[in-house]
Amino acid sequence: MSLELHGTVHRGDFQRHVDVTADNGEVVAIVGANGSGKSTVIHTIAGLAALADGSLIVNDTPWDVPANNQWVSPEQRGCGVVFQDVRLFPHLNAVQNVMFGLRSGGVKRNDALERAMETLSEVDAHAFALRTPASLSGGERQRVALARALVMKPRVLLLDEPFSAVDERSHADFLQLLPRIVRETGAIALMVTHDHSDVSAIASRVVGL
Amino acid sequence: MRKPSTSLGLRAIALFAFILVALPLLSIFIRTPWSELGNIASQKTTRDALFISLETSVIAAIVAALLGVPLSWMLARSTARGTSLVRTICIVPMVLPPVVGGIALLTAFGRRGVFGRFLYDWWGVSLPFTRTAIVIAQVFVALPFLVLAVESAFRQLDTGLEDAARTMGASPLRVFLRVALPGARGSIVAGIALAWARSLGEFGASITFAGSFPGKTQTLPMAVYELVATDYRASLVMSLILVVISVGVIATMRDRWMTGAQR
Amino acid sequence: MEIIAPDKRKIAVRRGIVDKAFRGVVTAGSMISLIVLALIAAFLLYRGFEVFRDFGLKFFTSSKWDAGADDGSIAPSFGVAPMLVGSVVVATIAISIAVPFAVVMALFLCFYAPRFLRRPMTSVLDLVAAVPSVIYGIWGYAILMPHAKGWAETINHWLGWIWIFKVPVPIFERSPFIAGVLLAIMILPIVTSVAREVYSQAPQDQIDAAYGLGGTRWGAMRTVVLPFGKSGLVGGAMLGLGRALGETVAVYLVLNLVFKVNFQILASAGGSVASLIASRFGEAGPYELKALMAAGLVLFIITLIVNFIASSIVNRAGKSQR
Repeated sequence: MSLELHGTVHRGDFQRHVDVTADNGEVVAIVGANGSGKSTVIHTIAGLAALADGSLIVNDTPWDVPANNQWVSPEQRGCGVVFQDVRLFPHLNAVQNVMFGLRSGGVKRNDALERAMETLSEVDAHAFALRTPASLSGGERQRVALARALVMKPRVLLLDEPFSAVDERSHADFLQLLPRIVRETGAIALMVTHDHSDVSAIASRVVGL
Repeated sequence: MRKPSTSLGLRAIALFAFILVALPLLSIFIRTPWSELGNIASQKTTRDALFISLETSVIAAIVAALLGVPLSWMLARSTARGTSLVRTICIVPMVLPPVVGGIALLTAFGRRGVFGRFLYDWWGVSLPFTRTAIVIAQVFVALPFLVLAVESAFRQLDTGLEDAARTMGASPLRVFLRVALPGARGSIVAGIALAWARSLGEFGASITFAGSFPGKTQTLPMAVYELVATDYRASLVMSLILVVISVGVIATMRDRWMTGAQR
Repeated sequence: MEIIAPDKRKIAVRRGIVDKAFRGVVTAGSMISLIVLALIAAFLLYRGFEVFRDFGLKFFTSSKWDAGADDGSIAPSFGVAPMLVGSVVVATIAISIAVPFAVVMALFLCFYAPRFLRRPMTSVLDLVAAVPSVIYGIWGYAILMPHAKGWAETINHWLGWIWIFKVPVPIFERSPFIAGVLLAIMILPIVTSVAREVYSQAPQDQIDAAYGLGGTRWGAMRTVVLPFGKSGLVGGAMLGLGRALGETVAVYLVLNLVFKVNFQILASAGGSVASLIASRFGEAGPYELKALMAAGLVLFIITLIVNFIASSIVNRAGKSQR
């Protein structure tokens, strides 16, 4: 598993060159000032934004190489994303949110439910599995969003300030959990964060923007 | 307030205007011959017209929803160049005089019409002056209202949710069915209700394309119109039925869905 | 965050068959509506062409509508001048009555109405939009007309010296005036809701500033809200005008269709292209049918022009506000 992003990311008029490299089992921290393009990098890797030039190659597969007209659509990239603005589906409850990706991939309802509940337990969110996002606190929503990203066992995990609203104790738990999952599944995690203790605790590499 | 007189005048005029708006409804209620209501309502002409009206308008609303909701979705999300042209054209029937629409439908699908000729020669299908014709005319007139309402609802949806769904491997169809449709549910229901009310009250396009044959293609509005000169009381009763159904359903939909959709 | 489409690049996406079908249905649906509408204009033109060719400009200037005799002893002759003029006259009356009332009612709903009135009144306005127009027709015929007849007599009594308020014979029923009043009431809700929408977007800080400068509420309306909403209101009025031009059954019930150009709005003689089509359509022969289609085309084009003007005015308003 490897990820190589070298090129110009853009969003509206904003443009900047970035170099991100990540290997098997690594957690890469992306740090930088507000407006430095951290979220744009996450969107570019997830396939929700395109590179202006350069290349994004994952596991020797060209995901986005403008020069060669190569592009893999977001639904085929299989990234697990925790968005900065969370983006839970408001019409679904917590466990249905987690099941969404599994069901899209054709997993049977009962199996999907079981796996979703397991993952929710892992992030200590099973207690509010049946509640709608509107009734959850900011931290609770982030846990559900994290479960929603992890349940797919993604090869590439993209986390955009995933712990900004969770309390200190859960935060510490997640800092244990995340590297373990990444190591076990041989995935790559990219995490945008403002928290220096996050960086020193789990990041094996730091990309400054 | 230095010049209360202006405000007072404005209030008075506003209330007068409001009374003007509400008056037609009120006077239908007042003039209805209540004692003969049951009698007239159970007459064959009335029952037939009511049944035809309900049948065709419900089918028309369903067809309009099946065509209009995907169309609205395309209009709201497509970035292709012709999109705004398609949108403009979709709205045209809203401003097209319904009789002109009816005539056009007749020219297109009439037995000797441009398409109708083939329908008739090849399959023996003759559309004009049938209930199918009523449904077509109603869909034609009602579709733009639905598209207008639903498209703006889709536009206001958070595209971030759709992006999120795509990263989870959801196909475009699944994004539409599982994310966009539930998100716009309130407006879609409201749009269907509006389309249905338009279909129920539709007159111009249906009478030109389907005629007004009692028991066959005569809808309630046509019956009201035909009877106004000969049997004024019956036509008042039918008007009452028409008003109660259309306004009643819209009012129910409004309370249940629209307020929720508007937040 | 929207998806930024990569420029000049084809995105090669493998799609399932269901998705292909979905895209196909959506595209087909929009293409169908496009084609149907384009064909409508084409059909009307195609069918009406013969009539335009036979009568030329006379179709617009002549006042004679005669299907002729079947044996050919009387040649058919078609002209829509009275109907065209009638449509314009009736719609103008409707607009000039409806717009002032709509403005006042919209101002009231946005800025004056107490909360407990605002919601029910807005609801009633929306509900009235669902009322079938035939209801207005029967109401206009049975209830409005006897009253409006009295108003017309009063106007004629006091203003009869003005040419347009004169009547050749003292019959005041089924006149363009009454049709105009009825249409005004019919389009009042739609024009009001457009105006209300526009006024509710008036910049609150400017309204507050107008108050702050010692102005009255009405002063703030006049200096801020009304100028702000002017273009939007024109758009709403045009929408109402379009509806008034196309209205069939209500007009037919309260207007005496007479094939003579008439500008005297209180006289019992008028015209309306839409009503002409509806009234003649049933018993028309093949050639008269073509003439009716030609008339429909004329109406279609007028409506398109009105709406084009409206949308360009509204667009301009939208841009200048940004």
